[in-house]
Amino acid sequence: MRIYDFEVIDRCLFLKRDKILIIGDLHLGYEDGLMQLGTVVPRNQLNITIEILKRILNKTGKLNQIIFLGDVKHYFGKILKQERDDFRSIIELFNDFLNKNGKIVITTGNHDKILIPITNKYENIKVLDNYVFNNILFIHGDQSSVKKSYELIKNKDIDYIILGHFHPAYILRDKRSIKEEKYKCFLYGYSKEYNKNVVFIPSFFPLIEGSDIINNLEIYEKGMKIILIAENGKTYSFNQI
Amino acid sequence: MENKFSYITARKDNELAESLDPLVREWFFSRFPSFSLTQKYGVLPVFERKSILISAPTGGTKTLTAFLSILNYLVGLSRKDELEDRIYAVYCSPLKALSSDIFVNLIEPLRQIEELAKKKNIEMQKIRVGLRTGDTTASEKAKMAKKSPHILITTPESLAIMINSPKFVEKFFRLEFMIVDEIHSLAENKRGTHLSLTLERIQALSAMPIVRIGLSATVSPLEKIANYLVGQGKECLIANVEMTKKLDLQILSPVEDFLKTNSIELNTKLYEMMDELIQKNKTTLIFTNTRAATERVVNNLKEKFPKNYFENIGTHHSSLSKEHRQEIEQSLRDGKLKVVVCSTSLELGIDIGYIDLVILLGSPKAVSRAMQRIGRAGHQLHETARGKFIVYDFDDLVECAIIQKNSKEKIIDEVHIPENCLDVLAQQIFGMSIYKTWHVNEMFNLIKQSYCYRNLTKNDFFSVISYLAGEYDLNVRNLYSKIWYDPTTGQVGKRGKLARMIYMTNIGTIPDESFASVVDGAGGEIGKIDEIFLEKLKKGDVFVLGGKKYQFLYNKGMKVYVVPSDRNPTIPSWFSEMLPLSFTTACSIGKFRRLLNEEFRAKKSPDEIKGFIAEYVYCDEKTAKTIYNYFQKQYKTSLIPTDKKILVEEFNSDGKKYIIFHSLFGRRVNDALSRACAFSVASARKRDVEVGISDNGFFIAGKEIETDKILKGLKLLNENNIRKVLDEAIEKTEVLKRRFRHCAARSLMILRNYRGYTKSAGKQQMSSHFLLAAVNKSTKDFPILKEARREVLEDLMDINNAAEILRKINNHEIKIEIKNTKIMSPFAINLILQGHTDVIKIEDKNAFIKRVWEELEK
Repeated sequence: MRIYDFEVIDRCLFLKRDKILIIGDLHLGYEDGLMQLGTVVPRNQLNITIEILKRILNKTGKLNQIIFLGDVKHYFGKILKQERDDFRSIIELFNDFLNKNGKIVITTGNHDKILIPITNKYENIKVLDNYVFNNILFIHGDQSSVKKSYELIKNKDIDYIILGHFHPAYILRDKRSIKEEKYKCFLYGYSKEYNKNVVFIPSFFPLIEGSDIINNLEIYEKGMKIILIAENGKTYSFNQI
Repeated sequence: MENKFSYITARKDNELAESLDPLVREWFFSRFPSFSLTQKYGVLPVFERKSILISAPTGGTKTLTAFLSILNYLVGLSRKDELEDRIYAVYCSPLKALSSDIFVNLIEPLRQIEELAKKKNIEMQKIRVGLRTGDTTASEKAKMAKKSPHILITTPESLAIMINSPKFVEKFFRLEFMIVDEIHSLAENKRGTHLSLTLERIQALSAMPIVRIGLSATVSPLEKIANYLVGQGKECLIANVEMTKKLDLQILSPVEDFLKTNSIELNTKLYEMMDELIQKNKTTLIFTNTRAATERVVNNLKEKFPKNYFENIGTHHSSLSKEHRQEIEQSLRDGKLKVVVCSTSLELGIDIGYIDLVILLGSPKAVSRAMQRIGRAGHQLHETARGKFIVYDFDDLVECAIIQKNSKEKIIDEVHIPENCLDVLAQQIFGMSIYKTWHVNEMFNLIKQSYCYRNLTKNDFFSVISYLAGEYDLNVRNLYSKIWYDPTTGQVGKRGKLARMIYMTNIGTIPDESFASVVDGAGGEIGKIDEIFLEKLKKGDVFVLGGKKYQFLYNKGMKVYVVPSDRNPTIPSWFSEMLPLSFTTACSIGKFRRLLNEEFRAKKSPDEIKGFIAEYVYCDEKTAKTIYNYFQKQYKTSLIPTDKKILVEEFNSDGKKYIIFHSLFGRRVNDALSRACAFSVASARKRDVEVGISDNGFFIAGKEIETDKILKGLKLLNENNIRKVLDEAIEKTEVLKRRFRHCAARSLMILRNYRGYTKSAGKQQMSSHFLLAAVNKSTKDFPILKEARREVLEDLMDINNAAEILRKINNHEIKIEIKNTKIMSPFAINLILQGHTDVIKIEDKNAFIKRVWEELEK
């Protein structure tokens, strides 16, 4: 399954020829963040995240580059212990799958304004406001990152914009019965707002599907298509919404 | 010691008079001509220091009955200058407002007694009455801590807070009397479960056995409520005071044949009937069953009869702001309102002045509720209570007829008291650990004193201890756990400096439904709407709240901004959980069906049968005729289902097949039966199945379902396996998610208030979906999840009676008969229309998406 030049693997985009994997919002440390607000849940996020990552990495093989589209960590304001530990676990996993001189790029999101303290100990990680590869612009997608990348968005050498942040999801309904289920999805197509082809990628975060693109988000424009992701990683493209 | 409950009789006037201190006696007879019936039952047992449950209809003199001997005792002490600085009696009531009411009713008598004493030059210490609820200010609390009230008026939550405050708890050390008012309304939900443990804790604090006094409306069985009041191994007297108020009841039907009347005409006639009755009376109270219906009725009355209803009509329900409700209550007392439309909010005893007529719009679903509502008319014990049922369809008519009959014959519905609630237990164990360090056995034994936990297993107890001690989360050290438990010494205590503050600011059992606050331009709160309704609102929508129309502008998180509108409402009101028909009343209706069926089978004449109906349900000719026609049509078209015969009808429509079960056992039992049945069918097919549930039965629908497979599924169920089947059946439902979130809040898994944040919904809101997903992936035996399941199966549904029905089906006490009809029988039509549908999810998400995609590709 493809979106433009990308291959779709589970909930990630993959540039096969250049061996680049693009990963959406991770929100590591979510459970610690909840604890700060007085809610205690058992810790499962990291296990499931790693399980799914392994599933994807087994399909991609060794990579040259990994791009995180922001919101790698969840808690605003400071770095929690869980975030530090979980981030380390993720990077260690990737190190097994990165080629020599492989790089990791993180485009900052609204949740991870403070990342340097945990990333600066790794030489191969760069934290940027946005990232350009060939004719593709990668940004998180919140207001701040869009503002900062305004010139690039308008730039005529850029043909595609890949965004995270919105956690797009779609509610699928069975016409004849009253059953409905929510699924993570990719939303892509020509956007009048950006005047470019855009791809909104789903959050990687395994515990919630995301926001309903029809009723809650205002990113959908007529003509855009979706690809739904089932829990087992299989993807289904739907041309009509 | 064994439990012992004994009914008592009224005592004699002179016995009572002799028990009173001369000053009190003089005061009493200066105000009242004689002792009321309730007082003749209840005053002396309290004087004799015996625990007692007093069941009397609303509007009785219950308050003074409970207090008279206590006041007498305190006056005696104060005259001898022996009154100490401690609490002698606690009065606990579920409503903050009620507590304020009683305060007024207690202060006055005391003031009058003091005046009388002054006049007679009798010296008396001042008897202090203190009020403490969630609304009490900090300075008032501080004053109370310094100078103890002798009588404390409070709510269950404030009581729990007080016994955990080091400054306050010692005032309870020599408590002598504990009064629990409206105990029936507390016992049947988790607030009562919580209170039962608080009562045992207070008893454990006190040096002497506390006399417990329960004040209850008419419920059944009274022994259960008495047991709830005093706990295990105790004695309790029961005073069952008869209602001397005469019941003047009538059933009114706006049309003769509901099936032949279209809804517009029905609506018109309904409102004409209501208007006529309201105009004929000075003050009318109209009860509906839901907030949505309350709003609708007020709106329609204003629209259809604008000259009659403007400032003189009021709305009252639990989603309206406190200020609005108090305004309405005061206006009622002042006689300024001609009609107030309310839901269950005005059932409990707040004084609302004199009501000429109570209208019950539609069945109140239980006899006890009917009696409480009708009892609001008049409000003095000896007057006549005038109540009219206005019905809106055939089944409603039959239901109201039976409720009317059972009201007259005092056949009251059996009360359900939740047991072994692990979330409340978690909260209370945490509270206990804050107070002191315990040995687990000491703690366990205290808990088992409560009726609600008499069957608690050691397993469940220790799993809650483990949860609180943070042992369900082995990966995280230094976790936010609330207690520590040392298995070698068996000691349990609190952990962390914040423990007390966390407990105090998060105590309670009323679930934080995610409500959005509706505010007007000035920022004043008009009322609340729930999250689900908010999700449906679109810009410009007009909806009704508090009897007025508002246009939705926008919302910021959980604050909804509106502006008054006079356009028509564009969005139907929200769905709130509907009142279920009580099992007892359902069985009565089933029995009525059986008796009528026998009349038809004996080929009695129409007039004979109508006569039978009129006599049986105490109704007039017109009503009997309408009921007769309904049953006659059913008898002709199909069969009359009864309490001993479940009729199963098959019906096809739109390519969908409906299999309809006429099992009149009430929604709670049918919820359990239908889901269990559908689940066993769905599992076999590996596809979802649609289910419709109502009080009168349920239906299963789908494209390729077969009746004999469904019946086989039903036959496989029995009283032993139903719990296991249902546990699986509810696994993925919305209702389990929601209840789990409530339980998580009660067991302090989610804190409302933490470190200065008060969590409102919005970005911070814990979605039920997430919470359940997070917990499910860890362990199946998580006690809070177990409790959520128990709550769904036992409190929301009625698995116990469902199991009993299955037992009767399996040993043929209840028969099942199948009929295939070309047209839907009259009973079936109603069932389908009322059925609240749901989907039994078997098909997993992966298969679903694959299937829909394949279909679209075709």
